[in-house]
Parts: sequence; C-alpha cells; structure tokens
Amino acid sequence: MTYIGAENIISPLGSTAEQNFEEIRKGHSGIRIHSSIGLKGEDLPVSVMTTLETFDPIEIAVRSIQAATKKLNSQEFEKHKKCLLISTTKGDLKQLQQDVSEASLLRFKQQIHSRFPEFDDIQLISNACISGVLSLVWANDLVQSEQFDSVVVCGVDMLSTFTLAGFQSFFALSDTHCRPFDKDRTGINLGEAASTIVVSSQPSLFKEACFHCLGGSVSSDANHISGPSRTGEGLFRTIDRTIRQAKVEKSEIDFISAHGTGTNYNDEMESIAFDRHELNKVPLNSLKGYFGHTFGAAGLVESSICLQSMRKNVLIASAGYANQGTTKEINVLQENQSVPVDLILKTASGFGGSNASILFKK
Amino acid sequence: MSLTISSYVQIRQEKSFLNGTPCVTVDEQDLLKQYYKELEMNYPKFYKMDSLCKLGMIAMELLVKSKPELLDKNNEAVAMVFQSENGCLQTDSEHQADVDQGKSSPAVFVYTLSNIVCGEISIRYKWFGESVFFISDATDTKSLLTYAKSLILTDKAECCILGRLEAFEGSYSADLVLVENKDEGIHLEDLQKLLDSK
Repeated sequence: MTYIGAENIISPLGSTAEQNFEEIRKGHSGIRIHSSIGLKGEDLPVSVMTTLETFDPIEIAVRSIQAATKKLNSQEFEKHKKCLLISTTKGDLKQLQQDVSEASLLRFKQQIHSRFPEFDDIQLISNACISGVLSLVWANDLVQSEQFDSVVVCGVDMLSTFTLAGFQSFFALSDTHCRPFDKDRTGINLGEAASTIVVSSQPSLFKEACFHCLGGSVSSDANHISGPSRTGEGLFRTIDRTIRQAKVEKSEIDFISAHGTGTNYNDEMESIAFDRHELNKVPLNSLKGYFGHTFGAAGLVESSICLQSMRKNVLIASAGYANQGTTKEINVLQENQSVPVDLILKTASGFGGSNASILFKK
Repeated sequence: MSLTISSYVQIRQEKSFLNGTPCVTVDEQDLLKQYYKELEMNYPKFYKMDSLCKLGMIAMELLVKSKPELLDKNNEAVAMVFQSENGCLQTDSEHQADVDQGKSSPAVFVYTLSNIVCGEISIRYKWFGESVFFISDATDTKSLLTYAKSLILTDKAECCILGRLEAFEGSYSADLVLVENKDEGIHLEDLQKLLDSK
C-alpha cells in the first residue's frame, strides 16, 4: 500500500483538479464542435485548449507537474528519492512534420527531464490508452518495492490531425457529443489534457489529505490489436488480479471509474467484464463526455477526479448517458450522487488489447 | 528469492544469437521476411505488421524455440517489459506522410502505438499476463531490471521477458532476456555487459 494525492488537471475546463471537478459537477463539458478539423475538412466535436495544435505538451506538462508538487511539503520532498513518470502516447507530434528524430518520445522525455533536474530518475510509459492507469500501477509498485520514496506521475497528450485522421479511418469518431454506455452512442470524441498525481510512501508528504493506493495490474486480451475482446477477457482478468492482490471484497467497491469511450464494441466489452464480476449494481461513470478521450492523460485525469470524489463524497454523472445501451445491465450514473466514497476501482482498456485497473481507498 | 537470466536472444541486422552463440543468419535484403521464412513461423498475420512488431515476433520466436517450456506455463505467468529509444517512430512518420497527403489507413495507424508489439506477441502465444512498453535509451538497463524485479517480487508474474527493440530507418536490433526466479543462471548485474556484447 502507498499514499496518493496532490492531483492536478489542466484541461479546457480549468487548470486545477478542483476547478475541473466543479465544472463537471455542474455538468459542463470541454467538448465543442470545431470547424474543418477532420482529415477531409469535417467539423468534429473535440475538447481542446484553444485551437488545434496550439497546445505545447511540454509546457502544459511542466505546469501540471509544478502545480501538483506545490501541494507537497517541499522540505520533505527534497529529501525523497524521487522518480518522475511520464504517461503519453504521442509526446510532441508537431515535431513530426518538421524533423522525425526530434519527434521521438526519448527526446520528449529528455526535454521534460531538463526542466526537473531534482528528480533522481525519469521514466516514460507509452502504452496506448492504458498508459495513465498503468503508470499509476507502476508508481505504486516502485514505491512499494522501496525503489523510490515518491513518484510524480504526469499524463499528457495533445490532439492533432495525426490522431484525428487515424481514428477517422477506423470510423470510431462521433460527429456529435459522445454518449458512453448509452444505446444511441455513435463513437468517441477526442481531447487533450495534462494531469499529475503523486504516489508516496509517506502520508506526511501531502499538505492536503491523501488516500491509500492499493495497487493494480495489467492484462492482455490476447485476442485482437484494435478490437476489444467479446468476452471482456483482459479487463475481467486485470480486475480479478487487482482485487485479489489488494485483498478487498468486491462488495466493498463503492464506485467504478470506467474507461467508456462511447464506441459500440468498447462499452459493450466493459459491461461484459463488469457483469462477469457481478459488479452490475456498483455506480459507474465514464468521464469522456466532459474531457473527450485524452489518451496518455486520460487515466490521470479520471483518477484525479476519483480522488476529488473521495474528498467531496460526490460521484459525478456519466455525461451523455440516458438509456441502457449494453447487453449486460450496469449502473451508469445519470445524476451526481452525494454518498460516502471509500473504495474506487479505476479501469482502462486500449489498443493492443491492453487493460489495466487500480484501486484507491480512503 | 534469487533472480537470474536463464536465456537470451539477440538480433543485429542479418545476424542473430542465442545465449551469445551465433544462431540464424539471413540475407541483408528484406531481412525481417528472411527471418520469418528461415524460422518457419507460419503465421500469415506477420505480413500485416509494422517493422517493430515483426522484429519483436521474430525475436520471441527464437526465444520460445529455445525455451519451449515458456508455452507450458500458466497463461498469466509470463510478463513482458519492453523498452525502446525510437518505439514506433518509423510508423509514426509513415502515418504522418499519409495524413500530409490527405489519406489515413487504419492498418498503418494502429501501429503508431509502440505497445502493439506486446499485443501481437500476446495474441500469438495466448498470454494474458502483465506487459509494459516504455521509452528509454539503450544504456538504461536499470529500469528494465527495476520493473522485472517489482513484477516478480509482487507475485504479478512468475517470469519476465525483458526486451529492447529498435526498428528505425532500416536498422534493426533486438534483445530479449528471460529472467526467472532460479539460483542457476547469469547474474542480473551482468545484463548491460551481456546486451553490449553484440
């Protein structure tokens, strides 16, 4: 077990976790229709900072890391053996149009490291849409195995034509606001964000209240690189492993922060995995209707909102959801709920058939 | 607990090595395809993959052939911890070139994620275990070992395949190293020396 907190989110909805939480609590979304941004000049709904490709992922990541570390006791943090863990799928894609070698993730990692020389080590995980949750799982393991006292995990991805065009070629984008788990869902909205969370062996490191991280796991579907498993195999297995390792009972789980992209196959797959675990009655949401899918940042953004939910004992409604749209019944939240929130399961699934899950406890 | 290296595979362009000893050698021309044929992989999906995935599949085939007991283990027992400097940068630039011409192909785009190589290997061998893909320079064996130790120490995996894969602009290099909880074998501290030996 480790301690987790000091969360930050920088998204179109705000530049702190608190602002972002208050905005989505009011039902506000960062998603707007932007003109002529598709490969063939289509108008598409996306959640972006201002206009496409103006977001500098390094600057925003640096701001997010600084904001999170301001929530730590600096004297104690100075003494810690610390690692900075970056979660991103594509780093700085703008470079790809100019100089390919400058676009490498290794270069991206070095540039961020040069801004934070005080860290003993820096790592960069690039593992599709599970990068964020997987990075938190790793951070927990690195602290638990006493290899570091603290790990600062920052997820960041910008949106670009590169990614939009790719998802368009899969016919995976919705031309309206996404509706995860709803029967009328028609696909994903993409977004961009940066978000940071700190994992530590010392609760005294955090100025505000912190929570327990019970760790997590990763599992592969071993089925298809771009299509979710029809039996929810990898997601089922990672949840199983995470719950067993943390030695908690399924009945203790108060809330599931799901991945919920808004595509037919993904949401159906998730519902099957939750059903196989008999988690049908546990309140659940997808936050993609507020932030879009922010790739390497998604797991951090959504986990930050989980921590805010535990601070405020408020569960956030799943934007865009009205009617059951999966063959297995699950409890998708249609309204915010004020309830005690003590144990949260966070999940993610992505290309490559990869799945990850993690548990947070008050 | 004592973790040691029980087997390792290396590919340097047209030459491959098993536990340091020369193994299959192929023609320089179209060398990934040559390896595929030479190893009689009989896995037609191979042809659809990008070069990073092809390289990973070939290296894993060599490792599994030398350690067939890997396939008899529980299907969650084997973890993959892979690192790369360039990841899928080759495919990134191919997809960017498509986009610049107003095109986009799902068959290219899906390979613009470095971890797809872990997915392809999982599919071939029906492995449901832990996997991670991270970006690090070639001298950073410390991170590979850190990850491997923590996976085995936390009982998430019984054994761990450490990987270093580079496929960029016609240059191919792969190392796969099997780390197990066994007394006999090569010491983990010798990993860097072992990787640099070829």
